[in-house]
Amino acid sequence: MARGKALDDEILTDSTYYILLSLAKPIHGYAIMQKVQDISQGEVVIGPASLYTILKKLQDANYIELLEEDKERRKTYILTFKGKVILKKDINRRIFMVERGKEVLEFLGEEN
Amino acid sequence: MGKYKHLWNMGLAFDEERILNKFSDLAREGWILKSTTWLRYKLEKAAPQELIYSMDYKVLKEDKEEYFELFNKGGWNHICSYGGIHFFSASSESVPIYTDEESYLEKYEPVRALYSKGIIFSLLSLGTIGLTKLLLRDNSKWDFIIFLFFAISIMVLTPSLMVTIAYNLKLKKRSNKKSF
Repeated sequence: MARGKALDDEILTDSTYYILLSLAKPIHGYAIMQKVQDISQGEVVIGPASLYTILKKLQDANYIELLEEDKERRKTYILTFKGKVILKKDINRRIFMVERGKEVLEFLGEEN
Repeated sequence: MGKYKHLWNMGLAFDEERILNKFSDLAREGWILKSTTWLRYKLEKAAPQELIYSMDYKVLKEDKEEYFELFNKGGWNHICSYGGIHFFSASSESVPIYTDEESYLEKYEPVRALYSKGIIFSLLSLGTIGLTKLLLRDNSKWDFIIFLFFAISIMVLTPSLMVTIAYNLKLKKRSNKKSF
């Protein structure tokens, strides 16, 4: 199955996946780039233009929303209920893939 | 040597990578991009710096502040903007502004769509003109006006065609590096 667009069929690209993970707790938009880098231990980085585009998409799809702006007028994002459902679905999809991979990895390991 | 230097704006559809690299080369020589208009770029004499440059195309409304704040946090300094085109500079180890294939490809969508409309509009125009000319075959007093519309259509068609082709080539080049 071809890799669809980020939010088609509710399959998330790696970038979007990590961004949603970092949104598990309320977070300022600008803090997401650092958070993704931390969670992924440097494996995944998000550039500002990509982040901006993806945040807009996630808002349009109603996976995330803005909290009432606080006194400093800094934008804080949170997952919506729909967003949580989608994220859990994708986490489990990836877990499933990894379990299948682990089985093969064992087998491939024995071959050598 | 004066304080300012100018470079012609050749239109970013064709020139983006070249001009961004040029800005880096010039920054190394101590010429730093300061501002830009539709016609040209203005650079100011300063101490030489190692800088990389990026351009993003985004029409911004209420989210201006957030947009620039993200770039700022990402290490990209906003230099100037005109008509939805924004220029940024950063030190060479900075994370690229686009790190994700899909959002990168979307960058050019609004411009491509606009120029595609230009093609359709001018082709329809030319078609109408051709038809009109046929109907008024022997009535040459309209020739001048018909020619005027013809010239305008060609003036719209040519850049629309060129820009659309340039962007389509750009996208093709990217998607050839596709993942499986």
